[in-house]
Amino acid sequence: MPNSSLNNNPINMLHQLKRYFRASSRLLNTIEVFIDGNSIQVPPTFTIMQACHKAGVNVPHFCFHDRMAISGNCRMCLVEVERIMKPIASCAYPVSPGMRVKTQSEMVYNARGGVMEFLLANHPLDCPICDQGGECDLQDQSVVYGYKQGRFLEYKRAVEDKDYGPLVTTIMTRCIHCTRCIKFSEEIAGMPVLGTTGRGRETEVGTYIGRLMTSELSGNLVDLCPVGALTNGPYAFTARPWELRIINSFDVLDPMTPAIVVNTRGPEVMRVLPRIHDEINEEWIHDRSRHAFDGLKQQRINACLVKTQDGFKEIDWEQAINMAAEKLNQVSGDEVVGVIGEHMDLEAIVAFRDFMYRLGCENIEARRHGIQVSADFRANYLMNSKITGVDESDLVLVVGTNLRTQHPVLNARIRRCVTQNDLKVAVIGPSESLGYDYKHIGNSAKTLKEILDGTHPFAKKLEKAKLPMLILDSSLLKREDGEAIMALVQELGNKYKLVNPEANWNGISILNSSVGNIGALELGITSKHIPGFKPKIVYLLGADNFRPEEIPEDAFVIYQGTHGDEGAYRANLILPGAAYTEKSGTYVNIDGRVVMGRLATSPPGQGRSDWEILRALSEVMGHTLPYDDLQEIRYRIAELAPHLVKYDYVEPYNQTEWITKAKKGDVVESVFADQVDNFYMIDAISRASPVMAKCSAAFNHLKNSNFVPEFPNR
Amino acid sequence: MSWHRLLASKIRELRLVCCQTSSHSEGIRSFISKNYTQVKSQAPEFPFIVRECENAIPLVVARYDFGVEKKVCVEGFSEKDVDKAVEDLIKQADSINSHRETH
Repeated sequence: MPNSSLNNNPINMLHQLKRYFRASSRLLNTIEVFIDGNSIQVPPTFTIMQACHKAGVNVPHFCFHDRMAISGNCRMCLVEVERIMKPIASCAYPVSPGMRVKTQSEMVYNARGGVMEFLLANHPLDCPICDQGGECDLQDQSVVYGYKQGRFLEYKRAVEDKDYGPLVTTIMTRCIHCTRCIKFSEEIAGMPVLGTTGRGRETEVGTYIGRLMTSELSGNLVDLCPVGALTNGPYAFTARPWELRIINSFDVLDPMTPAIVVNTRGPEVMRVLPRIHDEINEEWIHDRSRHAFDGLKQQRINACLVKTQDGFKEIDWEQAINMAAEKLNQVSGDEVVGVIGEHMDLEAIVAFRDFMYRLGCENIEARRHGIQVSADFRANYLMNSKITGVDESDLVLVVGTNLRTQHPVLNARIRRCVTQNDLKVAVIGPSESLGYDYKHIGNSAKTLKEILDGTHPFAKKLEKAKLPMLILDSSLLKREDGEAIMALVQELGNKYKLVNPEANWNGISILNSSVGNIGALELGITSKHIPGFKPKIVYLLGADNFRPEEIPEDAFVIYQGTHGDEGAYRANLILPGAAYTEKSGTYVNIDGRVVMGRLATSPPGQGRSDWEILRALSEVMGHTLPYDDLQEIRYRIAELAPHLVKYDYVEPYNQTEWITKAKKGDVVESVFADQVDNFYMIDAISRASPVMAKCSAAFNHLKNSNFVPEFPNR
Repeated sequence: MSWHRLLASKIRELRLVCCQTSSHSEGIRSFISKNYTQVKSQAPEFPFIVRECENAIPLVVARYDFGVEKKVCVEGFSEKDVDKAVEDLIKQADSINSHRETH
């Protein structure tokens, strides 16, 4: 009985009751309803539209959206119910026993036709020049329900366009007031800047006082808009949906690896859209995932280059590989350092690993700026509670990260749970607006210590929590006291049921900052940090975010990658690689989920898949890697870690016992600063992207104007 | 056990693949649980990589100098047998490492 476990804390009680209802919804009685004469059993909580969907009957709609509140204002989903005189808006009307619904009757057609007529009364007839043409809900449904002739002689109304920033173009005359964008900004993005003004014919959707929509998730407004009122700004007038090839892939610019669709036309990526994946991104992606791909067309390295006194000179592959081989042959293995970049796929990393080990080089650096985690067990570096664990958890403690800029999609999920599951959130670190209520309980490791001692008031809450979660940003682990912080967190875990073997729950969730980092750790690559060690050759495998002083001035630097960024700037020899849309590669996300990014276009110029370059180089050097195609290299990956070939699956692992104990030490009491200074420019691709540059200019000046105190070491 | 001391100096990496639940991986699982802290106390930086995968055939892979790998299938082994397999892999280290150097 669930009542027996209820305690006196009202919050816990409420939470448990909710859990009880949610968990037992399957056991509730179903009732019989008739959709177009066919009997179907549905739970009594269903709306008519849900019942229709279950019966396989499509009900047209504009305002209704699965993941948002029901507003019921478009009236397109009208259906006839027996013994009710008026047509019913099916999205907002619950089923009742024995209800007989007609979705194809003459009354329904007339009602929907009338609604459509009213919608079209003010909707401009500019489909030929509208970007939504071909994928417009209104266009599709007017084919079925629209009358061939309009009866309105008045002029159509005109509405002034709003400024939503460089990503979302508005043509507000086309708006049909479904209010999906308003619901999105309020419920998902947690930024209630959109709303309606005026009434009736004068209704307008917009920001109240001319503010920009500054959410990191703003691009999703375009997907939600059923008509062409909000369209993709950078994509404007470039392609029609029927010209595009659809490639289902995963994005690597976000370490959550959201599921995306890459749309290409010919050799060019035209746009990126989110794909529904309930266990990763639901159906949202952030603006960098969506719009930074145009960086793939700028600043690209499309030929082998060698640095000479008069700048970089183009050479062909044979010369380049020979030069690299010659240089590497001149030194012994332990004078070489390999650095793995942020967006590297497992294939490239495994080839790099095998190649470097064959040279006798053990210094492969993947832990960006020396993140002090051990690769021994998977629980050491993954998000142990999983992304879906947010839905289960009842208390989240965020340590050292601003989730809104670091992981906007995860933040949206937390926001949903805060409103739906009564999840409580506390933050240690930057106290920025996250879009929901949270408690800011401290700024430094001192607070963690206090919680551990039990002197902090939050300790009591943590004690009472059933499935608490601690989200720890990996950037904290690269501080000098990184290991001590980890030790502190582990102690907290043992004291407060963050690690709970009975429930098979490990709430210590480490948010890694890049897929390259996680991929390397999955393959067991950790470097030995030798202070004062000066390598003679540095091999940068797509690594752009490094500190220049890490590389000695007289070292010969080989950069294999895609963009003319930091890495290429320092390089002596440049080998053109392939970006994430240009190769078939597997990646591991923060969850430990193995995802496969698919080849959408071919790399520009002489660019090749990264593992192929390494394979060629190894052959020239006489250490031939034993794989010739993708199949064989994936077999090799499976040999090292078999779970890495189970795609779109999170392999369960022992997350409560097999954890490497971090060494205790003194923590420095400096502030946990926000790591993302500029959300729109994080990696080589987004730094090269003109759209991201525009966003950076449009949105970042707002950052300092809303009374948020600056952190001292930002 | 004697091999703990030798481990870090002889081999570069020890990789253990096992299944989370199968009985054929029981030996290697208890081997990991028993030896991990001891290995780490002697050589904190030594990569002792454990990877789990459902229904995977349990393996012990040692990596020597210059990327040479030796693997032993430990399917159905008891903990003692796994221990012995690891010890054997360490014993082979000298001959394998010297073989490569003469190349």
